[in-house]
Amino acid sequence: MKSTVYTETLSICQRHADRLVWAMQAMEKHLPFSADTLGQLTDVEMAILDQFTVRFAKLQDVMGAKLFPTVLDLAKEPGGLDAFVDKLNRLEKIGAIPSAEQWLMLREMRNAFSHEYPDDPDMQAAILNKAFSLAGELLATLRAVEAFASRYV
Amino acid sequence: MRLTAFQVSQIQQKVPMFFGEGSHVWLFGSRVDDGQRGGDIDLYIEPKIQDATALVDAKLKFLLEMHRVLGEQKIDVVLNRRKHDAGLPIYQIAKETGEMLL
Repeated sequence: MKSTVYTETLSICQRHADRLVWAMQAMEKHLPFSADTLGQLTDVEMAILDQFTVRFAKLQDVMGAKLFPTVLDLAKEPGGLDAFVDKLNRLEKIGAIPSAEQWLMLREMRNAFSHEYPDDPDMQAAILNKAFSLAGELLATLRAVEAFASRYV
Repeated sequence: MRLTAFQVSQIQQKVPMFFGEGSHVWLFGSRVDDGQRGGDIDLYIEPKIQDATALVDAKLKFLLEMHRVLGEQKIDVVLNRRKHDAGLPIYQIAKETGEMLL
């Protein structure tokens, strides 16, 4: 039962991850972004950037809210860890995620997308460059969790 | 203004730490209205640091630190790195209706 919940949650994460990777590969030739190159993107490329931010946010949400608790459950870590930070520290300690601190940074990145700085294209470019680099860490975290949990399913 | 003395002192301490000495910060939005309850902490910041890449890093690290000291509290940061530009209406609104903390 526990492992079914985990497998289903993982497959949701994997779908978001696949779309995220696709968007990243489609935009790779434009990296690093600048105010100039952002201004030259086609409508389709702008839509791909939207896909990037949406899938980053969804993957980050599902991992934090659903995948992490099911992994703690699978590993039979005692319940009662109410604060999210406690859950993260436990996940780091048992080796399921590379770093609790890094995860908190990914969460801040996910929330920072809501500010688009329409008057400041240099800031838009800087946010996207940072987001692309953190997306690599997000995907690496998913792979680490998957490798850790594989011994329990 | 609906912030505790601790919240105010943390904002006053951490803004220059991450955005550079000489940065300015205003609290705006629902938290300046004593008649409301709860709500996000909306901060408008005119940072000393002007480099866009360094500012993105500063913003993420500032929010990480604020969440560490203040807990799971929704904090919104609006950055305006061009002080002399009229810019977006929200900048003007934040300064006119907000309360300068630093």
